[in-house]
Amino acid sequence: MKVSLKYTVLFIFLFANFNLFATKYTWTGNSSTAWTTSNNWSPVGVPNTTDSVKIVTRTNAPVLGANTTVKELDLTSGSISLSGYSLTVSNNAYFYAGTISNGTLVLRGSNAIFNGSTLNVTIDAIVARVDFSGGVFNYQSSFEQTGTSTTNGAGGCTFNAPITIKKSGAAYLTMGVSSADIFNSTLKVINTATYAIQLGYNTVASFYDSLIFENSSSSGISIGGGNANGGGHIYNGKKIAIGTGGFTAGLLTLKNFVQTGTGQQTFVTTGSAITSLAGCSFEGDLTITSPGILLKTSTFNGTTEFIRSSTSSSYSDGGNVFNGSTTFRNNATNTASFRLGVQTGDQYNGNVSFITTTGYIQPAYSGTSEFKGNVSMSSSLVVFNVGTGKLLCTGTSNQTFSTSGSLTYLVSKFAVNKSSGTVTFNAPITIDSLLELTSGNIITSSTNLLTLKAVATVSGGSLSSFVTGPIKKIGNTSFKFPVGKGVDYRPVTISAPSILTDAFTAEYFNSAQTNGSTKDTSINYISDCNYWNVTKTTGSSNVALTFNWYKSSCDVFDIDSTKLARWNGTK
Amino acid sequence: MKKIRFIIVAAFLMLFHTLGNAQAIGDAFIVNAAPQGGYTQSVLNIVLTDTVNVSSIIVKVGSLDGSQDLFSYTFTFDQSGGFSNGVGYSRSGYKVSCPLGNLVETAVYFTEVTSVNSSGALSPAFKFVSN
Repeated sequence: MKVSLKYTVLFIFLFANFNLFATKYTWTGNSSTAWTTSNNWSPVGVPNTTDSVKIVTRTNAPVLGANTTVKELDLTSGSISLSGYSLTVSNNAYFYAGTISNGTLVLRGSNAIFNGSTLNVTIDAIVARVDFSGGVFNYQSSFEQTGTSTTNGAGGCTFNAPITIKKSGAAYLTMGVSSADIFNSTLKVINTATYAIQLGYNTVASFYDSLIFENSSSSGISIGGGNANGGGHIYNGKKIAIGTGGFTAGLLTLKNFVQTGTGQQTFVTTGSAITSLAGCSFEGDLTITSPGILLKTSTFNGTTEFIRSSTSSSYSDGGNVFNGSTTFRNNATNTASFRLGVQTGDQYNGNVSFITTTGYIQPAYSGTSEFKGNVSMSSSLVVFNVGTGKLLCTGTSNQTFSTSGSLTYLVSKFAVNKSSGTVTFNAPITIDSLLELTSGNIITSSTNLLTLKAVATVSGGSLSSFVTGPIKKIGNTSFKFPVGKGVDYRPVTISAPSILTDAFTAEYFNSAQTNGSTKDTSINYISDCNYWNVTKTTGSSNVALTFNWYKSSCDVFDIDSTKLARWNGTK
Repeated sequence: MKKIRFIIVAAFLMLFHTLGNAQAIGDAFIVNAAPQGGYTQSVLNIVLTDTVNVSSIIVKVGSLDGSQDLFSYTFTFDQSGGFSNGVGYSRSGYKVSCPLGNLVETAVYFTEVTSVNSSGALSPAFKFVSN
């Protein structure tokens, strides 16, 4: 019986406590603005650390007189003044409307839901879920999501002070699902757990100050990761940077991201991180250093450099436009490839350099990649013939193809379509399948020879476009060498050699031949107008030659007495 | 005794030789069609370094490094049928083309291709990341 009484007392005590725990107070302000005055609440009483409070608009708005803790806060309307004190919410905090000012808001527990309030306070939030679905944040604040439930913030938030958003829980933290977020001050984003932090998910987030990323998660951080309307815009030359915590894993994904304003943008990711840009635009200079780099349908207007290092290959989709001077470096310690234009060709409107020592760089993999400036490469590991892509020169100025040391350009398809200027090879070039001559001349030399493999063909070739210098053709098919000099297009055709590996080289000169003056008795006079140099470079095949020539170009008046002669070594 | 030792060593060397002989993957890349409704039709193109002693090809595609959440399949070498959901296989010389069906659209695709020989030995994984 004694025992039963003891338990009854305990039950009553617990029940009383439970009632106390469950009390939900609503602000009335019937008596004054003092938070701790009982008559200002309904039911009458003062909320303690286990209570929930709801604030609504009343004549007297609540004012804190000391540091205060409640379990739940529901700011539905009206305002709260913290008077320089802190208000701690230990479980759920809901900010639907109204204003909270002048102090520090400490949020812990399950939820911090921002849905329209104006927050003129410093916020220190470490909660399971942070939902950014509206609100104005006017003071420096930090938010950490620790839980494992996905948060889809609708967006519509304006951040007017430096903000840190961190995710340490294994769940998505998504922002900007249906309305755009605006960041008027620095934003620092930190992800340390699986699943990504996703900004500007379906809407375009605006960044008017620096954007700092830190990530150790296998997932990473993205901007514009949702539908086609998602993205971001950083204005006024403000910087994207990697914080002191580094970006050591996962993906840094920027989709439909626009950077405006001049100034150097530099971000470095390490470890196993991949940087992926799709549909982006950078106005300023940009240097990205990342183990993996992927580029797709993006535009780069400044001086740009991409430095990758992963031992797994990076294959970029393509469709990019590089308007400034651009450098691609592959610092892989193995033969991993930095492949470009895998599905769609890229456009290089400035000079471009490809630099590597161990890994491959494979530009112009597929489609047509357009080059308008000079091209240089540092290694034989830079190859343009792994895929079926075409390298098209369209610059209006003279263009050069150069190398460090004695290297050969290996190209699948090479095309020239320039309204003005020439293309000069300061290195040998070997073409696998197609040489396309539409407009503009190619300049080669015996050192920097243009070689066409056996299966390669020539398309075009005319007064508007030919090769000034020697061309070497390998193979056992008849071939028309599209050679000329100056303004003269003077092709020469060979009949089919008998052996596949045989090779002939041809060049046209619009000047006097230099072999000698000794001539056959049937020849009265050797023209100093022009000549061809056609040589059997490899093999023993004999071929017939057909020359294209215009009598008017050498002031020949009597075509019947004109002879085509061959230098036989002595005359 | 010496003979037995020789046989053991020879057998070990033969086994080692067989196990270490899975043909390396020379190249591989994915071609994605324009996404529709959150999915993209993908085709994996593989270039083998040899077709001798290849019994199967393991393909894994994931949205994160090391994952296979988008696609995972072991193609029997020169498998002619039995596929579903848009998956397929065809080979011309060293080039193998494998439609992977509709993959969930994602920013980045991590792909890993490995060949297996008749002894079950794996080639080094050919890994690449693409977008």
